[in-house]
Amino acid sequence: MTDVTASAFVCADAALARLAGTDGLEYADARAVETDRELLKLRDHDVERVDRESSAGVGVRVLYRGAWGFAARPGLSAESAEAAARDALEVARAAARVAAARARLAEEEPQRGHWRTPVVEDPFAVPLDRKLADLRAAVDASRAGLSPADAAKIRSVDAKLQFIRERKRFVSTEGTDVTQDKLVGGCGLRITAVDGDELAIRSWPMDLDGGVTGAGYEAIAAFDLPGAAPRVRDEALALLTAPTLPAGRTTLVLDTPQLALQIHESCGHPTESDRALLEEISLAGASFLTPDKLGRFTYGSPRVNLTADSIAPGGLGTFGWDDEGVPARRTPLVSRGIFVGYLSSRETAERLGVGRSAGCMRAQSWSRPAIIRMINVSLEPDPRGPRSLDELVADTDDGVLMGTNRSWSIDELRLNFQFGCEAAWKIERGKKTRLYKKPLYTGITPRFWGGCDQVGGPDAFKLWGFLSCGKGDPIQLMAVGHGCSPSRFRDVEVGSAS
Amino acid sequence: VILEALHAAVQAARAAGAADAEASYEGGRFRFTRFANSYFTQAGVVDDPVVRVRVLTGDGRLGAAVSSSLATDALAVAARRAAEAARAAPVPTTRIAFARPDASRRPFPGRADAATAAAGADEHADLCARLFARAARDRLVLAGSLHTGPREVAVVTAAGVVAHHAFSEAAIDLIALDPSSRDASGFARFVGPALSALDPAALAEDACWRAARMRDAIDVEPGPIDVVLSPAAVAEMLEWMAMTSFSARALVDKSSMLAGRAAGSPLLDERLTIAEDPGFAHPGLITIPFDSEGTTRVAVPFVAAGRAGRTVTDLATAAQLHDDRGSTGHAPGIASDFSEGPGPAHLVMHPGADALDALVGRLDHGLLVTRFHYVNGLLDTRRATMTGMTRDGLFLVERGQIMRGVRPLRWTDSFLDALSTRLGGVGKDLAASKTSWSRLGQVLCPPLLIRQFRFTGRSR
Repeated sequence: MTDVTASAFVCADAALARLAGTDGLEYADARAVETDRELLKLRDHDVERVDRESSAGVGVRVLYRGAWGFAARPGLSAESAEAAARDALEVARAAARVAAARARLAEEEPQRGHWRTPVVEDPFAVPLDRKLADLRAAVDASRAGLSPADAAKIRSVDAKLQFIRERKRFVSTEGTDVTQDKLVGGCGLRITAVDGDELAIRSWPMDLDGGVTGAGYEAIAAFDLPGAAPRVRDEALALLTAPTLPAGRTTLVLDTPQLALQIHESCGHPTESDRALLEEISLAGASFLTPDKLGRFTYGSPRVNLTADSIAPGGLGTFGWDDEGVPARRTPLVSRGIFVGYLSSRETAERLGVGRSAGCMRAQSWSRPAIIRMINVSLEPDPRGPRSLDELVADTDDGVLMGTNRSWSIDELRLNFQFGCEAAWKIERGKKTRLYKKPLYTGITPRFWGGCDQVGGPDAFKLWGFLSCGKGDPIQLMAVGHGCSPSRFRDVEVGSAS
Repeated sequence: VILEALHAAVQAARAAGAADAEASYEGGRFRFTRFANSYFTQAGVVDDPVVRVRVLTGDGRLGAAVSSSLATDALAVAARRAAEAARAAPVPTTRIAFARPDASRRPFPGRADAATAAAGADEHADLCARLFARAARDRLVLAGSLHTGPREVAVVTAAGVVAHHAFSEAAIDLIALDPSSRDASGFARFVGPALSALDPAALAEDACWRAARMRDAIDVEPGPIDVVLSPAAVAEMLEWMAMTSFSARALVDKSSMLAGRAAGSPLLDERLTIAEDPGFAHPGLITIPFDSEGTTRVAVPFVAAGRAGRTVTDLATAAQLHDDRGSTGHAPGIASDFSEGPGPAHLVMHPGADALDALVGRLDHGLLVTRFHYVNGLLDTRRATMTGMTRDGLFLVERGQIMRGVRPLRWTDSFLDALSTRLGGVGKDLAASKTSWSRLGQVLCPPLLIRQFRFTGRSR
């Protein structure tokens, strides 16, 4: 019993049948994919978007005499699949004619099976009326109980909700035949306050995508937009009159939403093996974590343990198999501060001599080739670390707390970063005190992680998700996960965007 | 075939109870070759149609559904789902109507180059092989990508808009690298409607000389330094400005640097004109004459001789702002996940008088910037404060002469300030860039000389 339609079976089989017996063909795979997406956006009580998207097609990848070719066609018919197979072979033959090197793949056992996201309530079966009512409740809570003067300063309340369901079948000439039914979704709130030339934004639970997880509609209640709305709104109003954060070096405490982005940009991307091998340099860039550093470079303090994991429940990077049929697995990236592993594919694992793929080949859709992507890249909690953000703040004599991202920038080697946040708070003698607007912090990746002297415990661990990690050319957006507990970093340069 | 399918979708929407309906298409056959270390890492060809059906109820409620299929039954399902979505929505405070024919607007002509549209896998491979060979002469390898293909857009509305446009695209990004020197990289780019306009030898030469000159790169202390920004760097700054200031959405949000400024009031240096200009005469411009809502695009000056202009609109923001122009024809593409509201698709910074060499010649002590990396323009959108890094060719200039390469630097600066009080010159030669995050959209811009550009850090 699977949740993948019969068309996907016919289609994927037809692609490989078309290629069977081709002289020079070393490997081929086919992905038949159906995607459904629903996006609802409210700005105050006006509906900005009620979009429902369905997409289906097949992507075929071939390795011919050591050269890759990819092609994709819409629809799940045998004709689409055969046409894609023919196109992919034509592309690979042209590449093989001028190729100076040959691709080789690390060994993997052929896979069989089905995987699906555990779901309590199917979001696509929830009526639109209820979804809109849930978003309206968040808007109402954001505007409730305000004085007329403050109400006039709330420029907009944006609430959104989205779910994405992807069903696919993957087959390869090595005998792998797997199906998956993956569901991710969530919701978010953004409140914009304006007073004269001053503008302030506060979001919940994260900026951009909001809170997103691998789950069904039960995720909406878990993020509790109406419950958070009054505090988020009050902070947006307070930011209108808050001072800017004085420039200097200080202790920085990061709450999990911002720490998730810090992990994404300064650990996830630089451990991508295609970047380390200069294969992504023309768009996203390369990496300071070059192969000669593997196993010997000090990335951070001994408290820093980072893991790539596609098994963790609820992660956006959780699945049964990646898009070249490698089963979900855990791979240490940084162990007690030492760089020990890469995010890899079968091809880069072979080139790097690391034995086997970390299972990180993922494609945005049927129309894009799989490339090396993050899965769930997480900072392991310290079993003896603080049990909450409050405990970590209480343990900090003097410093600054930041929690929600506003801007992000990092160099192409992933060394020099600068992140802006929506708000910061002064920490004095173990307590949150003054609020600052437009704060930012900057640093050099290994120096920053080297200053990590406290990682929160398992009770404070939170697995966050980003839907829109951009990489590749043509650009692809990918859903990735990052788990972490609130953590503390010493001697960090902070300042203000103003 | 496309227009027939869109007509059928509109009819299906009406049959599903829609008072007004619109069907919009984007697609084509997209061929790409990606390479690194002078080796093909990905090559492919993709047929990727996207159709959106939108419906309005009689009381103005809006719903939309998107499909990857042009088949009649798939579009009928999309029409029904859009109608369901609209019926579930509350009555809006601001109503729109889908586009209707407007004889007062003449579409800007576009261009389809048959050879570019038909370029096949062998042409890609052969072109790349020539580029690799040129780089090898300088002991360099190439990374980059080549994209070509035919594209089509089409819109049909119940009110009578029937629009179809076929065009071609060719784009290549090159990074030359010295495998023995991590500092040595150089960048060059070509974008245009016709691959025949590309001079492969000249493009490779442009990337290779930069990489070769970066072999002996040094560190420079951060701080305010005069710079000449090459067009690729200016384009990235303008892309952010387009999102954060030139969209009516930013005006609604009051996050635009145009917010609260009357049209015609002083804003930037009077040598600067920045506009959405689909009819601008340049061989690199890929004109798309209407938007995804079927509205014929008009030219919109954002900054005219330094004075504040207006923003681009779509149907929704034009209604919200009671804009006397209505929609200017700048709704986001239907396949664009990043777009929040309207945006320019042919963003042009008008040329000045100086050649690039002349601008560099005016630097007594400064830097020539090839391009930026990972710019973020959300730090303070009303002041256009951005941060980013340099990459692929940063050069120290002394007494007007390029001396040697400089390792990457971080910068954080307000372009409202830089382009109003610190502009030292505007170049005369425009170069085309294609936006990274949108499938439809382009920037044409010259190099700029900016005084005391604020560098704030180094990578090491």
